[in-house]
Amino acid sequence: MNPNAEKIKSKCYWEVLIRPREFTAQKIANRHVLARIVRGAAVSYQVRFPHINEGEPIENRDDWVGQFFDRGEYLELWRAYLSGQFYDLSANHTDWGYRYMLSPFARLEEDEPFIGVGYALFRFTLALEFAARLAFTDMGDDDMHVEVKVGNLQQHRLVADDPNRADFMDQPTAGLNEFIYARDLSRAELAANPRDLALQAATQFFKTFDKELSEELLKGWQEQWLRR
Amino acid sequence: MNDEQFAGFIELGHELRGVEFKPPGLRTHRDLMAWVTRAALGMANHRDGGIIIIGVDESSGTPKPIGLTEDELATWTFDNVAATLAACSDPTISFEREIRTYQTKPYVVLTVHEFAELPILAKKDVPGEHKQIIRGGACYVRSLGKPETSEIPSQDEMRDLLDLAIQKGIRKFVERAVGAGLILYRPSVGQPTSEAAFLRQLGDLR
Repeated sequence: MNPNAEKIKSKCYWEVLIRPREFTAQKIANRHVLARIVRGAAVSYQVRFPHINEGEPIENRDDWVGQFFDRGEYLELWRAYLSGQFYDLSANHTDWGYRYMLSPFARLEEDEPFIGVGYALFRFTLALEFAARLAFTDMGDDDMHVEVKVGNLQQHRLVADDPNRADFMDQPTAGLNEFIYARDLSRAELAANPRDLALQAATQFFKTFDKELSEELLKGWQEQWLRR
Repeated sequence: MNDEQFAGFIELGHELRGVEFKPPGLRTHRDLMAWVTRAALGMANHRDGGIIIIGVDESSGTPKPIGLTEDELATWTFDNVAATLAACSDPTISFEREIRTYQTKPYVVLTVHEFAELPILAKKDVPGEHKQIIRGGACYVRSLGKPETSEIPSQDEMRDLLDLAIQKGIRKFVERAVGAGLILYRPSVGQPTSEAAFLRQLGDLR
């Protein structure tokens, strides 16, 4: 395996795959266009997805462009292919030492791995919003395929990551080691409401923790994270 | 690899199946070069190859980045390393050498490529000061259990290696057969499926 991917996958990770359903090797004629497309479609809230480091050159290969970052807590690798395929592999930040305010009811042991509800919602929203934007570029198509995989989940606890919330206190542990959301979506479906698609994906994801969270609750949480 | 990516491997604090640390020293230090050669033999038989970082001491159990002195660094030229690896491997190992800096100290990074056609075997015995480090005729691999180089430890590693070699053998056969006109190649619509084509494009990422 690629050593950078292997490093990211050595702990919990988020893998996003967005592509047209039909393969055309040279959908984009020139790979130098790829970086421009990705930059234009990138979603920007408190972070940018995908993260493009403008201070570093973009790696160019025969049929893809991409970057890899390693900033300690922040690891991400992305590639955009001439076929229109986009791949992003990011570390689950808290597994690498990133800390932020959690609910006072989130009683975790030191170094106990966890995933925050808001954080997970945010990750799904970034992926689906980016997919919606990418679908309308030359990399996109009428029929798209979107996958979001969360790997190495085992032993992670689900916590409320908002100091003002006490929505649940039992902090369930992931029952499966990986979760995969994979959907074939039309460009129109993606564009119509990527945030709702992200909510649906996140709702499925939380079931991995045997947790049913109401759509209303999650919608509010999602909006709160996107406003940050 | 740039210095930032290199720093990521150092700061990870442990080896990976595709990344091995070796302590600082002169290339002419017999045991050190033998351990580096053994690691290169294992990486060459690993899918996608791997990297060997020279200048990280692991004797305490925790990798300690030390770097190389100027004298040590001067001995790790590409030609010197290539000569030693060629003398100990069959077929010859393909690799690249670069110097990376971490906290102002230089390190040598050997990026070893996956074998081209046949798995790489050790060409001769290389004894160390206290024990034999390389056994002539042995096939070294990166073990699945923990990141280390060893002679094939179980059927799982053997199966991985055979799969890799068979894939390469089939590819070569098809190329020759097409070239000789034994197989008439006509791409058919929809083959391979779109899903397979996209997946193949991701290569070593998944």
